[in-house]
Amino acid sequence: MGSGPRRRFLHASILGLIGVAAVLLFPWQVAVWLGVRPVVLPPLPLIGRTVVDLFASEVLLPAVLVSLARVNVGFALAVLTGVPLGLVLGRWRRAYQACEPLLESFRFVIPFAWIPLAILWFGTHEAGKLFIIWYAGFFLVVLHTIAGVRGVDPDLVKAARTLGAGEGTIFIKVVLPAALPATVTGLRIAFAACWIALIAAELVAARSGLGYLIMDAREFLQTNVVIVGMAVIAVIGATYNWVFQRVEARVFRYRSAEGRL
Amino acid sequence: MSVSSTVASSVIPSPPSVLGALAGQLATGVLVEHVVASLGRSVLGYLAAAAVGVPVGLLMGVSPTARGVLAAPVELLRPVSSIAWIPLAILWFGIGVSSVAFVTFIVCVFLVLLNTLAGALSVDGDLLKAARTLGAGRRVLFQKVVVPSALPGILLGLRVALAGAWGGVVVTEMIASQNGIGYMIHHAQITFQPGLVIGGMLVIGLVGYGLNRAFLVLEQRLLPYARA
Repeated sequence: MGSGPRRRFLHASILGLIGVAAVLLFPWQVAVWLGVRPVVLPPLPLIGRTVVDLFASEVLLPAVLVSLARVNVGFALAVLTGVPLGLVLGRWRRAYQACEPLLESFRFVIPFAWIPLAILWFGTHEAGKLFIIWYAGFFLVVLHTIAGVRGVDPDLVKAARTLGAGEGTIFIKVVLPAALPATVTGLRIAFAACWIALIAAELVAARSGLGYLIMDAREFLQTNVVIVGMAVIAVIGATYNWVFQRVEARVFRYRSAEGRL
Repeated sequence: MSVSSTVASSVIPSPPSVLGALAGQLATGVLVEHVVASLGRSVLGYLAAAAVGVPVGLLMGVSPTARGVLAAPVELLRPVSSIAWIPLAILWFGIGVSSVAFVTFIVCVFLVLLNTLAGALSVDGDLLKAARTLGAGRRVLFQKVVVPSALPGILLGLRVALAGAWGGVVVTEMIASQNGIGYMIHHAQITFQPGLVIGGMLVIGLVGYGLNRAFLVLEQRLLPYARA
């Protein structure tokens, strides 16, 4: 008996391992035994060797760095433009009404649909990729920031006003902190969209980066490289998601702690 | 003056030239063919994802063992962005319908599954207890309590997945297809027809909007009580 959480963790881990083995690894190995060609499913040991080879080679790391640089810059642009606009539109109803038709109609033109136009405008220049990433993140950042500002407790604003705060002070001391949690949630969702949009742009129109790496590997029928590349893309996406979730947890705790005061 | 206007029109086509390009494609019937091809693939991948995602999500919702076993593989596969499956899809299925439908399936299946699971887990424990006290068996419990409670989650997943399916089809067609609306705008880009590129983007936006509206209307008609 004794430690319940640890037992539960052990139990969950064993079930998880069984699940991964039963749903993914076992069918994979069976398919290989049954004679599926390596082009379709490479044998599992080959995947392990490919991981080692790729990390040792001069191919993977530069691709990762290029993709990370692109997504970080594009995402930063989306945040720097989206958050201020969201704050303005959330606070001033007039401005929101003026922009709403534009926001609503562009929201339905998915980022991927911009890829051909971005190629026409920018060729394979970096600006095209940055534009796609920015577009994928911008609307999500704006809409979540607006929701954050709208969700501010009106009583808080009234209380601040009663205590003599001006509009500027209210904005900085009341609205900004209260809008923070929803905005951070928006940033997490927007980053995921930026990352997917970047991979799509690199699949279609790039000569470098992770998306290009797996597309190029496909050209040479290196399925093992494609699969390892997919895993790297997943790990990077999951890592960013995890970091944003940590920030979110902290921001939300800060808010609820403040709420208790 | 003339130089600058030529440059401008080659990069940013005028609205009449966009409409002209669209009208041309509409008149020959090519545009409709592309849109129909894209819609067919979306529906194929979408329905397959619903057929897998809803039952598996419900199973994981009612059975802790199933949840324990399936959570790990789902969490392992989910972060692989669906777009990254495109090269593998081409290796598996070649260029064409199967590849596009497969990627669409991947886009949708996790959205449907996880929202269904969330819905199934949100079942009110008191409701379950009350039903059990009144003598409901497992089957009745599932049919009369679990599924109705999970319905808003299922519908949310299906609606989000519908938008995802459309986006997934568009981007996959740019890479792994010889027809469809995604192929059309990609081809228009290669052959330098900016008017048709923007026209195609408009159509993509309109169809996406229409799909979302159609889903909401259907939901309202068929299941007016199931809104979240």
